[in-house]
Amino acid sequence: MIIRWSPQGSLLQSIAQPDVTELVKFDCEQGADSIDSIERFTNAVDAFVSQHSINRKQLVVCTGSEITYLVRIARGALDAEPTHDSIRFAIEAVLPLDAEAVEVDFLPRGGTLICAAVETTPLRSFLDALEHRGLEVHHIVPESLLVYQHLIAAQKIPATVQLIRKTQGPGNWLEFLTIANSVPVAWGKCSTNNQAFSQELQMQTELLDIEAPRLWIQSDDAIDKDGESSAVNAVEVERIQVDWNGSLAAASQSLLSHQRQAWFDLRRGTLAEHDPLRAIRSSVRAFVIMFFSAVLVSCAALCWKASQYASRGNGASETIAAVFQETFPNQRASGAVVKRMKSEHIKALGQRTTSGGVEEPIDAIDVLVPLADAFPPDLAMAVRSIRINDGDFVLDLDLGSHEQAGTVSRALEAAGFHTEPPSSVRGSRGRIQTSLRGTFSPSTAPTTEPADGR
Amino acid sequence: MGDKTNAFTTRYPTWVTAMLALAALFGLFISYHQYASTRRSSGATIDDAAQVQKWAREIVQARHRPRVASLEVEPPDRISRRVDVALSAAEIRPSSLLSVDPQAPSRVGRTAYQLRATQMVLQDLTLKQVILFSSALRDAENGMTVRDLSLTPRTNPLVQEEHWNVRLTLTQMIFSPISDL
Repeated sequence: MIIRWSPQGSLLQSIAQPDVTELVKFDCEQGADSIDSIERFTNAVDAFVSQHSINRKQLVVCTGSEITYLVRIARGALDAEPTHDSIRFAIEAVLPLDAEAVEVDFLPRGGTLICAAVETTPLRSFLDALEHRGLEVHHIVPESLLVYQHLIAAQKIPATVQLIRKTQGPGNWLEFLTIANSVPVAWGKCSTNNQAFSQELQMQTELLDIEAPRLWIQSDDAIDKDGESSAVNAVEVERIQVDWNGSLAAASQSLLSHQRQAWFDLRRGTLAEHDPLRAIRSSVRAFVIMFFSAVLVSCAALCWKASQYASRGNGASETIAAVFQETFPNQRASGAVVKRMKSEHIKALGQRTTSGGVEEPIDAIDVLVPLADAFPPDLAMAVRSIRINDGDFVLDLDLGSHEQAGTVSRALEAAGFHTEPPSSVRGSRGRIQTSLRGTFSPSTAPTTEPADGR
Repeated sequence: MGDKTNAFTTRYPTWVTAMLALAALFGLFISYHQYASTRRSSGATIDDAAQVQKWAREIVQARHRPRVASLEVEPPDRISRRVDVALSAAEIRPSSLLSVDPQAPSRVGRTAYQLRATQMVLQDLTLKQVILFSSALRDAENGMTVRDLSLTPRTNPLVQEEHWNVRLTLTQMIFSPISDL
């Protein structure tokens, strides 16, 4: 739905049926923003919406040149980067309005900022009343600029053009708009007398670099009953018939469906501030749906993967129990199977192998028996002592000669002992006291008989 | 009525959606936490299974090797009985056994093994008796070996029948890790 607002009254228009309109006049004596006017206005809007089954959530408010202005500001005039706030205060110097009483939007064009400003005071109470009734205003746009933007997009008028149109409402006024490369650069209103029209024409023509065609817009809602003014007849103009209501409806539909952005959208939070997200609600809804879907899918995927890992873990637990049962058939697998298996492993290896530099002990009998067997049987000798300690032995003998010490040593070597060279001293009674040291090492024992044939 | 409906549709969905979003995020967090926990425990169990299989193979292989150590220190009464049995087996008169002196177990360096020595002194034995006695004392299943043996002839070495004074140490090796099994 479109509300074409003016201080004298509002024209309600359906977007789906552009020809369905209803005029709500305001009582001039009480003032446009009186409580009665607002009540009557909102009642009329409610009735119109109900009567024509119009979507309450999609409203476009169009403003006229009575409260909307187009201003050019040089970038250099701003102290900082252009923002809506800085422009609002810059406009204060151009228009006789307080910065707090206007809402602005702007288009950059080279070193100039084309700014649209709307007075908020007359509008605010109407918009608040609409929102209180659950009617959601999505856009507040200058009506003429919205229609011309649509006509340029539809290629019904050139992108660089000067447009003249008789305004609706009381008075004899001409609306004069200059557009350069699809950007409005000047928007003015002048009376139909020759001098005012010529001044406005000259001022706006100076803003163009090239010769632009001039079009006289003949719209159905602003029929010049008196015919074209003499001032317009004095310049060369091309007449063009425009379905104003239809174009406005199409342009509004483009805005609501996000197919196009208005040159100037003046609902910037100050006006109709009830629901800041209304313009992006569908995007937000899509985001929310996608968010919940993503979370749901993620949860499902995580649960599925978790169940897979749990299944693998259960399989591994069963393997552990089976291995334990196989290794220890007579024992029951308790809860702490791994710990128990580790303990059994340490015990098994610790009992049957030695580690940490500890060597397996060698039994003295394993040394004594082969040692006794290794003595040459035909050798006369006396054993004074035999000491065996973990495979090492010390043998003290009394022999008849030094040579016999060598004979004993070779015999022991042949039996698998590793011996050091024997030390011998001559003792009392001519006996040779010999000491033999060695180690039992059966792996180095020769397999053949000694060469001396003992 | 219309106002109330509008207020509900424009205001409540916002915080309801916010609450639902928080609940969804919490659910996602719980799901991820459960997933991470399951993955971690599953990985640990799979590692444990591989380790247990390796240990089982090594235990089976170890069973084919003889024991070298016991898990328990043999009590003194068992040692006395063992000595008595060995004396009988070697047909040694009890009077030949001069002393049996069990020592306290001592750890081998910083290893997991302890040694417990029992020193014995015997006299007037033949070499055959020494061998039989020592063989009877030996018990590999309990880590018992005669590691040290010292023989000194008791009689004149030139005499045909040899008798020996014997000093031996019966050593038990005990596997006793410092940390708990």
